[in-house]
Amino acid sequence: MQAEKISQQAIGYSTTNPLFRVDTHSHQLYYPQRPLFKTVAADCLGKRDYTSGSKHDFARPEYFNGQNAIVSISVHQGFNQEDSLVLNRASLERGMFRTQHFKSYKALIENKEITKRLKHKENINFGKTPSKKGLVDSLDIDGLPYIGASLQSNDIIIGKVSDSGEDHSIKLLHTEKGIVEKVVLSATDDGTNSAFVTLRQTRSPRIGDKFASMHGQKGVIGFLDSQENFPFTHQGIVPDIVINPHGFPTRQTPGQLLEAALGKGIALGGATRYATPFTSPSVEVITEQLHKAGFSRWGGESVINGRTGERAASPVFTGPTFYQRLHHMAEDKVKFRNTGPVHPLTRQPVEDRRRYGGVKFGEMERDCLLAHGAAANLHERLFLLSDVSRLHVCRRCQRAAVVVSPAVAADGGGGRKVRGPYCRFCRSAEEVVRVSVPYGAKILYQELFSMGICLKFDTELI
Amino acid sequence: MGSKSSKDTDDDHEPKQQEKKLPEHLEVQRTRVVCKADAPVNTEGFQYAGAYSAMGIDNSVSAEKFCKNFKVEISRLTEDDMEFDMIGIDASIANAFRRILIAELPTMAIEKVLMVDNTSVIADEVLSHRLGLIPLDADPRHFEYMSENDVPNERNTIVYKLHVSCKKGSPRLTVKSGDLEWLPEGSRLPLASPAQSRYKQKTYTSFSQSQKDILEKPLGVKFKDITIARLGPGQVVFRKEIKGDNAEKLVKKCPVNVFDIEDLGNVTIESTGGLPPEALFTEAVRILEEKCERVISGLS
Repeated sequence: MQAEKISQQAIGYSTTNPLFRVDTHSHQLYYPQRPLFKTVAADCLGKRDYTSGSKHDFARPEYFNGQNAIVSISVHQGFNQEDSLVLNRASLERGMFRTQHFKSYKALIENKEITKRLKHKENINFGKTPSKKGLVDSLDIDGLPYIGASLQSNDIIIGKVSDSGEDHSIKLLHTEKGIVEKVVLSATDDGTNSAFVTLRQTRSPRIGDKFASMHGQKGVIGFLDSQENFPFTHQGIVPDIVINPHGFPTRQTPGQLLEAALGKGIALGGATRYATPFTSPSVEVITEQLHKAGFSRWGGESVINGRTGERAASPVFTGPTFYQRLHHMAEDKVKFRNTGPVHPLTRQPVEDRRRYGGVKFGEMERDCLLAHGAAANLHERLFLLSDVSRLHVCRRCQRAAVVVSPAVAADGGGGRKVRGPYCRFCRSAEEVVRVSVPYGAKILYQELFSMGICLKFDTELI
Repeated sequence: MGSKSSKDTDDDHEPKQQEKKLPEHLEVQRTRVVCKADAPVNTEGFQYAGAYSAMGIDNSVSAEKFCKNFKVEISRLTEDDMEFDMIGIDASIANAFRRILIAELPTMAIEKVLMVDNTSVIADEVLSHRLGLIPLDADPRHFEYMSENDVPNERNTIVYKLHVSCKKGSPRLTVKSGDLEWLPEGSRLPLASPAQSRYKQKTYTSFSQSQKDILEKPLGVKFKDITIARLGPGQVVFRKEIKGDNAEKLVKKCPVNVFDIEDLGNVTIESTGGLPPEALFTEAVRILEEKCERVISGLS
């Protein structure tokens, strides 16, 4: 069940008409591959030549959403702790698990030939105008970008101008960029013209991207290592992925090991190829096929350390495994902020990533910093970068002071107000001090004060 | 008196006549890997020079002993691959050659792709990536390394052109690596600078002379039938194929008895570029030599 849930998040060759679709988000794998093993359900996806009695498989690789990778199950210098993987950089440079991502943007204007325009409405058209919001260099005269143009963050992607010169253009967020794939203009019956612009982005796997096998063994990339550092077998085979063996006992996924052993036997010319559920071949059949191909029965191979040239002390399980790239990628989740937009009421950071929101720092994170005794870090994270504010307190009567004081009649001001901290209860400004408090505390005091509840503040001079 | 003197003389002669040797089981442990039914044993070498000093044996590495014991046996040598055994060498030195062959030998590949027009179903980035994977028949020793400040010229750049179109009504077309055309005179793509229309049109490269005069043979691709893309008059489903007569099945066998492996590095080099495999190995030896000289000069 976990494997099926993860397969829904895998990137494959999603549609057969990508030139005409304008989905908001879609992904495409460069080179989808067919798994080495077969199932009856997978056979039904392709046509078979029954007349000639051929047993050849006709299932197309576009139907599957992953690639066959040589997977080694060992520890790689501690970079694949827990569930993380170490990937071979040379394999990625040759195009393994490379994907394309498409995002469409939509703009609507009113069709004036169909609709009787109301007089008070403004006339808005697609067009190009110098914009204060972003660059318009890649737009054509009709306000739409050139196909093949490279748009960066905060560029204008669709230009919309009103008759009065007001700018209604659509621009890219600070996390979006790409190359213009296609521009589609269409109209609807209710009098609306629409324009769709699709941006394309190519991504090679990076540290933090998520992968999974077909058995629910998911993990993120912990490291990308050079090919010469990986352990290699006598035939010179270097793994594409190195995973940690600690993930198997607790998750009870020995099927992945059986899949690798079966795939290895199939790649070496074995005849047992089907892995249909409830009719899979037994362990004896799989190991016998592997043994007849000249390899160790249990899949282990003697490997040589790629860095030193020493032979490893124990055999390492190595075999081809079908791996999927999931659409949880580090590039879509990268988030950093020092200070930025705040909520107007509480003055605390807003939430969303696209609004430059703050990084969530929950109770458990607070407990971690408390355990480490990192008081300055805690103060910075929860106070200085959050909602630091200032409050004036009178130390004599322990109440909050105001910042506007009425003038004394003796000064001859006659009701003139002077700005400065002043305690109305004590009618003086001698004992007023300024303290830093969270704005949440300040607003709590003010809310209670408006209900007739007065709080007192103990202060202590440092 | 006479017998005592005679005995002393015999003792003096004995070390000169024969060197001391390890017992047979220790010699096997030092020099051979034995593949037993459960696991290989003696897989680790003894690097310590004084490992056998109690027996009077010097285990240090000396150039004289290395030259006497080291030999290379070539098992197979073809145009694209070679296999040889290095006998009497330590595994770490053999691995150093492997790492240099994988990561540090220079090679020529397509790096920059300028797109003029692409109306196929394959995106620009996919086409560029596939072009970058095509092996080129070019010797990197004839070219200089191009850093960021260098201007592309005939000494550091090769220019290819690819112009294929599929007309309406014609059947499906397959673009192959043989369609890449070598331009020895440099790029013909003009830079977008209309202000200089009076002068010679500036291109992306500055070739002062033709590359035909410099190189002895024409530069091309190694295999002419690698599929780059397929063009059709209608919707095309993308497919990746490599056809050719060079798709050989290489059956490798270890020429040495696997149950008794001497100190050897069995190396197989498969060449994909412009250099034959024996030249690749000599280049790797030269790179390792340069590294040793850098270390020695750094220590002095």
